[in-house]
Amino acid sequence: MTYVTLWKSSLRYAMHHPWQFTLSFLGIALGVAVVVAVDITNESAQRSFADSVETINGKATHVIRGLNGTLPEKLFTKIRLQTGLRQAAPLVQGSVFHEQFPGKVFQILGVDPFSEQNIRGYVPSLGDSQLDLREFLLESNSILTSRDLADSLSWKLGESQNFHLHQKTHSFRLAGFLESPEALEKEMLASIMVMDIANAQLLLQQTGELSHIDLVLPSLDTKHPFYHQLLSLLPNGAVIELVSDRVQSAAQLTKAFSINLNALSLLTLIVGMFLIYNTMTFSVVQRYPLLGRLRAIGVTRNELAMLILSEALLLGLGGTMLGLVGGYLLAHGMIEAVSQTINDLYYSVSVQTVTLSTLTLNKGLLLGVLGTIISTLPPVWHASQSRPQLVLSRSHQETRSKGNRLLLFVLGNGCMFLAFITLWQANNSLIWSYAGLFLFLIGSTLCLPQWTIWIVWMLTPLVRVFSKVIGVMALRNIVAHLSRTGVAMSALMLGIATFISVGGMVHSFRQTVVHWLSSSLRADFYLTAEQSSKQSFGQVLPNWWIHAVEEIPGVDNIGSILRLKVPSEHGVVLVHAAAFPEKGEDSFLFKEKTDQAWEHYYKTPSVFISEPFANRHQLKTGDRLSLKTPQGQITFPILGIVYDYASQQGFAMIHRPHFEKYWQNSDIQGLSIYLSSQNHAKAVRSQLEKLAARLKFPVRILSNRSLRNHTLDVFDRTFLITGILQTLIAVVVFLGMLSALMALQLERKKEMGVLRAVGMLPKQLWSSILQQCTYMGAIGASLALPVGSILAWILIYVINLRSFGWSFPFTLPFYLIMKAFIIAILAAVLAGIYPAWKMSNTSPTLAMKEEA
Amino acid sequence: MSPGKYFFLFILFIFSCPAIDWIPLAEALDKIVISESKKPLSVSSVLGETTDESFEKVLKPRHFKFPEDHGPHPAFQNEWWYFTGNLMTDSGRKFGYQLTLFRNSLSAKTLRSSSSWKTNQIMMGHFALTDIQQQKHHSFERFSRIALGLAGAQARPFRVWIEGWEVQGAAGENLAVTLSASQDELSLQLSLVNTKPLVLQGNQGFSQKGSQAGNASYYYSYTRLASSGTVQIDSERFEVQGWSWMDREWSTSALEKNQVGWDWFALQLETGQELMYYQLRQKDGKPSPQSSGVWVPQNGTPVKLSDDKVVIEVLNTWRSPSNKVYPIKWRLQEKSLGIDLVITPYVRNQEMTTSFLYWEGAVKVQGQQMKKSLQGRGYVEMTGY
Repeated sequence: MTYVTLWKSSLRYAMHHPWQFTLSFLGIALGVAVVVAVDITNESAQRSFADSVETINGKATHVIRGLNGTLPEKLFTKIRLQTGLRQAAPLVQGSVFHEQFPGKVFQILGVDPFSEQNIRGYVPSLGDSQLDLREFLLESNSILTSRDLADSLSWKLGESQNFHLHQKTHSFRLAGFLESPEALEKEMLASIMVMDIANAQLLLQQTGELSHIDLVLPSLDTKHPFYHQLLSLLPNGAVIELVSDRVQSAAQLTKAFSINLNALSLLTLIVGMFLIYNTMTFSVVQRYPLLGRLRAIGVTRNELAMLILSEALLLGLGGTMLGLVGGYLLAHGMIEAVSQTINDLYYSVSVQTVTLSTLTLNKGLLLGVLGTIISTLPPVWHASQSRPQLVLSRSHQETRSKGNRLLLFVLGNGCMFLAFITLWQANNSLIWSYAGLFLFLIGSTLCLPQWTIWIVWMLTPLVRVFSKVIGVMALRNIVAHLSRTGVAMSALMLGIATFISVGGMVHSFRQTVVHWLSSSLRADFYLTAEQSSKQSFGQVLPNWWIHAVEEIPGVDNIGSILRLKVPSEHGVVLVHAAAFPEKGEDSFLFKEKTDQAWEHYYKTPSVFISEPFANRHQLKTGDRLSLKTPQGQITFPILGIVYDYASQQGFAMIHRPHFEKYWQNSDIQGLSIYLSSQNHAKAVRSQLEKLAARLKFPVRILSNRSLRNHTLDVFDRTFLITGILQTLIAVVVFLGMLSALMALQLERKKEMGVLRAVGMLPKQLWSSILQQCTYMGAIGASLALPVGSILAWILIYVINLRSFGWSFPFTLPFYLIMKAFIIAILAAVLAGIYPAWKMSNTSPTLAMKEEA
Repeated sequence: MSPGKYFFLFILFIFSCPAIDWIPLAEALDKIVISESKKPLSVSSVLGETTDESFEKVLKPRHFKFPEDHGPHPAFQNEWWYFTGNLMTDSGRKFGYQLTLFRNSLSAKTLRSSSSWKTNQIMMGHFALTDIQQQKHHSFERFSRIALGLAGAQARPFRVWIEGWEVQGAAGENLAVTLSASQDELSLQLSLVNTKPLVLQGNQGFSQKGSQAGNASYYYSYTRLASSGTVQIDSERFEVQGWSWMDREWSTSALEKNQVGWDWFALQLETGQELMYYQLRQKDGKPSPQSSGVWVPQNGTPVKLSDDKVVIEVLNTWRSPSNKVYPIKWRLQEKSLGIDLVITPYVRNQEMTTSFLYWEGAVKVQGQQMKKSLQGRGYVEMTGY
């Protein structure tokens, strides 16, 4: 038989089953789209950051950075005058929001155009007729942007537009354009606005300070004499970093975040693969009779296998292409959510370019095309290897799969056992954690057929009570066709389990944070010097001002804090030098601590560390932490580990007097204010605001409640992307189920015909089909509950703990269980409607003919 | 071919497509940009032309006061401290140098701001060293705002600097200063002391540069500064001695429309006289009637040179690497004093490759006055070519 004829038979089959065909196609496309979208999002965020570091630092090889994110501006004069280093450029950095696009962050770079030669190529050079130096330096709202950015904001030269910063509106006048000789820079410049350094200092309230100084050093060698000369000029705590290291360390920072995103993407991938497998298996299994006949009339095994595989390849290719396009579009939406999270958690970045890498493309193609082909292999092998007459018989398939079922169950249990061993032994390896997660999911799907039989066996007496024969028949039918229903239910179970685990994880985390906030926010007001930029920890509060706060009537007690980055054996550690009244002790929730920890904490120089810090550096109570102080390297005993969900890097907390002794630093950046009675709250607040007006820099006064809300806002934004993924998974599962169950029901045509012929009413037919769908949905969803819970447990205690350092107890909220069941059953019932309608309208005689 | 092979090839094709990495290719194509050559510009257009009418203008002669007038005059738009000189080691190895510090005001009114970077005062520096034996000319440029001590000018104590390039010391009617500048592998350290009194150029230091009122500058010079110190090139250090020339000028004027540039000669003769002459060139190639100069005999009483008595003849020209044609040999004659000099650069390529291109370099002078032979060295500046 020629291939053309064979192809025609396939084509005709597809045209007779348009629903089936479309849903298969969509199933593949969706699976690919989600994976590709997550991948693109992740990569774009990472790449944007690396690019923005390069754009901001220009051609600099090194960066001088202060410990608290700022440098005294005099340092620049010293470097210029004393070392003679010409390639040094000061920078003042901050970010603003456009009035009309509040979600978009713009970086303000305050540059000294006289120092920019050879550093940032896009800053117009002197003598460039493009730059009106007089206007740029003297008009305090003059700004330069790239032409592309100006075009995108419809901003014309000489015109003004409004931006927001520190809750104030500023009007910027477009005074010129940045040059963009390189394509990469051009893209990155889309979120960069350049100002004169003086104007930027005034705007960002950073007078006297620089964000960093960029250098082009003649040698990367730290032994070069230049390096030592530079080091001797640096103020205490400032460091010279290699620009390339900075890109690295920032990548490390967001690694945890991207790992989490990757875990979700992997889950989606597994669900996607299952859906594709499900879809392809159906399209082959359904055609067994046709394939059997083809074999019977002389089509060879190889020809048949080739036919189906080429079909799968075409379908896979088509679906993948659609999926790639869909994923790319989806990524645009997701990127916004991710960059918001990154802005909240790490640094200002505006993801401009959606990076579609070859790797992502290959991943999508591999999943879509190869996944489709591999999923087709088992049914193809089965169809082509069997003897024609056996292929024609349905009962033969089920008999065969019954034997496999027990084997699968044993195998599945083995997989799960192995999964737990792997997870237990994984220590800090994320790859092994992922492997464990994957093994667990595989194991659970292999066990599903056996679990289904047990559930059906338990359900049968129950169903018999209210639905008699029809219901029991529908239920038992699931087991009778387990080789097909099993696959559909596995996909459903996996999808719903993922849905539950992701939702449950976020819910549990949020609950924990809420609980932690309510116990740790004990003071009535929190006051911090407004951060002048992302890098800065803010200004120092003057002593007279703190005394004035203490004197406000109604203020009972105040606590103070200074955050300092300190070099240690574990890299740079954030040290909190804290003082608080006795009742402030309650605001710390301990994971573990030594006996009489507080007493020791006050008496001897010692530290409490936060949980993420402990996890990151594998420290426990009783260990010692060595910190670099102006007095030299000092070792502090660790008295306890406190829960903290505010920072990922973690911190070490030290009693204020001990800190002052070793660091000779009595600066204060933040206050916590305890009132003697809540009645004074309003009066104290207005007093605080009055006092704040006397400071040269803005301070932020937050009430207990507003700080709590602010924190939860950030939390919710952080998990926005997770929510989006959860929704996507739900959609994938929904569509997948719809396609699988619909195909399954349409296949029962002959069986229904027989039943109709022996007296089943159309009404009963409806009932039978809808009941079967509901049962399958319910079985899948109920199996998803334990599987999803275990999955959530893995995500929380293995993956999250390792990537963020936070631990929290898992709780599964009832509303999530309800949602999961509703999605599963709704998809199942919807899937039943069309087949039921079609079959009830077909005459039994026609239905009984196999090729109707 | 069997169907299996077709299938295999098809799969191979599909998976090899994305492996062709088209992304770097696209990036590489984007990076090809045609580089534009730098246009020549004048000092004020580098720092921005002004129409600010509130700057003070040079309208009439003034009474100079020292040391105050060695310091800055921010009410005027432009100002410079111009040092050039010819130096020699004991063994006769010759060097020429130039260190110029330009001050420019972007606006006339004084600024007040809480940011120390805020300023309307800009400094530009040019530093050049001519290694005559090696026939090499090195030139550097730097800009800085007059803020945070990065650059500045002050009368008491006298100091003018842009980052590490600096002139400072005792300055009153007489000058005893040190000059230091270094960049890359070059370094110059000199002590300068005037051996002749200060010369007020033009009309008592009021130097008319154009036909319109205000197109003038205040201009004085130290025509002979005894100089000694060191020149360092790479790791080689030379003890040098010689003569320097300092020009001081400030104004709010620019060249007039029909003026395209100038040629400036500052010549120091071995017999103890100096000659300064600047010739403003018009669009039609003729010298402008505002061209002017001075002859300083040994006793120090200057004689004004007027344009109708001076004839400058170009004897040779040279095309620079930047494709400009400069005169490269001149004959300068002054009829009333009977001066006849031939001026030849020590090195042809002394073009300043700075933001605006000009030629400034050490020259050798040979000639006679009333049959008496004259020898000397000096500096020539040519702009607007």
